[in-house]
Amino acid sequence: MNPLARLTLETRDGIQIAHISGEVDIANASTLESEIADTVGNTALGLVVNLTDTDYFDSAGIRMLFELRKRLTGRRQSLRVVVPRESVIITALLVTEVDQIIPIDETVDASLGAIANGGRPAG
Amino acid sequence: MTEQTTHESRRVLDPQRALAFLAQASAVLARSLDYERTLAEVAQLAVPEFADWCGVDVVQPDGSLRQITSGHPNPRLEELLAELRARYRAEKGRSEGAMSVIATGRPELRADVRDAPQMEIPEDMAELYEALGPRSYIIVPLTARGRTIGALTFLSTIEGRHYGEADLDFAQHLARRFGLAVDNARLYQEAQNARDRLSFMAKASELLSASLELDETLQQVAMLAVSSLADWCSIELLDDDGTLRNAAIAHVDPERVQIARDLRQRYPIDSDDPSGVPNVIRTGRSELYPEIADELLVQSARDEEHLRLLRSIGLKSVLIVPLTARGRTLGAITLVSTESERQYGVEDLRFAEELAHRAGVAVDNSRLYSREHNAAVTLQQSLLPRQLPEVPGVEFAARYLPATSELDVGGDWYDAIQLSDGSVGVAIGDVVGHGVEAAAVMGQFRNALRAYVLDGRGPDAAVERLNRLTRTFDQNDMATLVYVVLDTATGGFRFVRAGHPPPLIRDAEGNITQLNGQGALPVGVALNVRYPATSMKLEPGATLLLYTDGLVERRGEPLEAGIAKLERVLAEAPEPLEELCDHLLAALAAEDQRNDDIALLAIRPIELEAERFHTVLRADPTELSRLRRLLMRWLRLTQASAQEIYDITIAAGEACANAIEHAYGARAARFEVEGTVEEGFVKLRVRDFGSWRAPRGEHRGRGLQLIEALMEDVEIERGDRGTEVRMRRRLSALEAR
Repeated sequence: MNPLARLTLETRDGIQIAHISGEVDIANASTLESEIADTVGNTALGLVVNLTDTDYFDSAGIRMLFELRKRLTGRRQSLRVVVPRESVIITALLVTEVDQIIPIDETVDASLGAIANGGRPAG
Repeated sequence: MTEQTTHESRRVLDPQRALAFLAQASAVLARSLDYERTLAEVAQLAVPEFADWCGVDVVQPDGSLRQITSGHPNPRLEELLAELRARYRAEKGRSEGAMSVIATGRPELRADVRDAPQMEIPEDMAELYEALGPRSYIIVPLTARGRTIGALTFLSTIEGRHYGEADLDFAQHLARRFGLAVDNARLYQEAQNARDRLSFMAKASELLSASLELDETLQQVAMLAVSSLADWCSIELLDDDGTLRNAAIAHVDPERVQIARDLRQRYPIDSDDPSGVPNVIRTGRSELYPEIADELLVQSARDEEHLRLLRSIGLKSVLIVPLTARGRTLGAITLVSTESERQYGVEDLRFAEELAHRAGVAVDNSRLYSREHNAAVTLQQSLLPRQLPEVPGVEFAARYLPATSELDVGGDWYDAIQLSDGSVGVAIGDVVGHGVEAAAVMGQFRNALRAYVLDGRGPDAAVERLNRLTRTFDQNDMATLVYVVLDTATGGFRFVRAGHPPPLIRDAEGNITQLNGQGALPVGVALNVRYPATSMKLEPGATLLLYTDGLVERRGEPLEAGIAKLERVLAEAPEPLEELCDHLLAALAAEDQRNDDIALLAIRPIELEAERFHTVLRADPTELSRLRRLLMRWLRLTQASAQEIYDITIAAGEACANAIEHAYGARAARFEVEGTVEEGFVKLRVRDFGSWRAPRGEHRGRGLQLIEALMEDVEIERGDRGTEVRMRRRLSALEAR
């Protein structure tokens, strides 16, 4: 579809989930960032950014993740990102060592479990 | 009650011969209902048996007299007689004797002219008069149905033949008979004229309403006028700026039209002229010149040459009537009689005024039309895209031709829209209806569709939405359209067809495919119509053609035949898109008569070569997605793996984002991306023309970090004129070989 990316928001068990399908670059990253940030209420446990259906994610997207993290950390809310292992976008996240600061999970359920568990991977 | 004479016992015809003559006269007159012929025959009948010369004077509707004469059997005498009459008329006014007989209703018998009080005959005419030798004459009123309609003059020039009372009785008897015949012929002629005029008017009205092309119409009217009303006809129009313009000119003899034209050109009408066309236009009142005397020519001639020309034309009678409509005088029609010797009268004037009035209304309509036509064309053109967007990976060409005839302009549109995901939307449509209103409605349709697709709706959803919107318009506005979303990276496209002729694809070999898809109703017809989209693919080298029905519709031909013709023309059209469009229009759009607008839009993905990639982009963040599409399409040709394609694309995207940042603030800045495949490597070069700014903060630095992590041998060269980033990546597929 034709806006670069489509954002779908969902709340599950007090955790905000942002599904991003499409592409993220400097043209839409900051808009997405504020749209996502605005939906995360003060009472939410945390935020999961689901990049499973994201086809393109460059440094602008990475910057968006760091900005989101900055906002959430102030409210003691956690942020996790979902990227399946076989996704083409994973390389860019790994070479920039995003995973060192923002935990990356393979599935939404894994992220949800980890947040509910107080930051530790479920199980 | 006759004049006293001294030759009472004389008679020219004895009773027996008189009876035979009457019988013969009745037979001749009964044969003919033709007015002119009747008059001529009447004059001829009496000569030479009863007179040596006979004149028939007939009262015209304007009170003047018209004379037909028998002529004299002796040519020498006829010549003299003609000269005498001409001089006599010039001196005393015309036919004095006949005039008084008509006025009094009393006949005049002059048994012997020598008995009469001597007519004042000028010196130089005495000889002529003597040579003619009039001896005796009779003038009797010509009566019919209780009215005096003219007079008959019988002249005897033979010595010893003098008219007597008996001859006068006979002449009166003859005059009654002639009178009736002449009057019958006149009535018949009038009825005939009325019929002719009715049919002339009907023809004129038909011509006047057939076309709205002003000058063409007026030329037709002028031609019609010279076929029955005049020898030449000229129509002058007052233009908006107050100048007089010759709009039409016609001559009964086509070879002489040029003479008339030259005359108008060499001696244009002087708008200050106190009489003639300028005066008729100024006052709105007609001018009638039943007879053009030489003095009038001398008076109105500007110089010797002009006079010579005017004389050579042989003007006989002239009629100028104003062209009026809605109380305004728009011009004038000039009718001139020359060769036909026709003399215009009051009746001709009325008739010409009626014609001029109708022509005036046509002129007015035509002007209104051309104003409306121009307004619609202007509006139409202002509502169409001024230029098509530059989209990497596709080329466009579009044409719009407004209808030429009648009020058919307006309503067609085309559009090309860059979508933010790098695909491109193209639309073509046709609003039902014509004129300014249709052009305005077209603008609404075009913009609404634009808004919906820019909002992120796919073709089906966008058109469905447009349909719902249309149902809220005040009137029952409807439109047919085709909307296509083309992925410039893959050539894949989705399209919706709403009551519109099917788009065509011409593949690289010239084969044509009709895209019927899942056709649906035009938008605006019914609520809740579904507009399903159909998916197709545009192969490399293929051209997609969208068009409106004006290109394929021919009167009296099914649409399919028109489309089949378009297919044939498209198959053989030249390759370059602009030339292709011109070719289609040249073959299918009639220059002179287009009853409908024509819009067409041709789209073709630009072919990429595996060896080299090159594109120039605007320094705008929205260009990045288009670049990625194009680059990915090219990288697929290089046998790069999915991950390699992605990594190279990311690296290129980062370099380009950098270039865009450099150009920040500079309007219309461009940057350039070039790619090659060499020695198993994909090499990329991104060049901007801005000034280098050091990466600021960790985030910009991350872009560079990404480039360096994903590519090999990254070089950045910063110069005064811009920055160039060079990088390469080995392709695993090529390495394995």
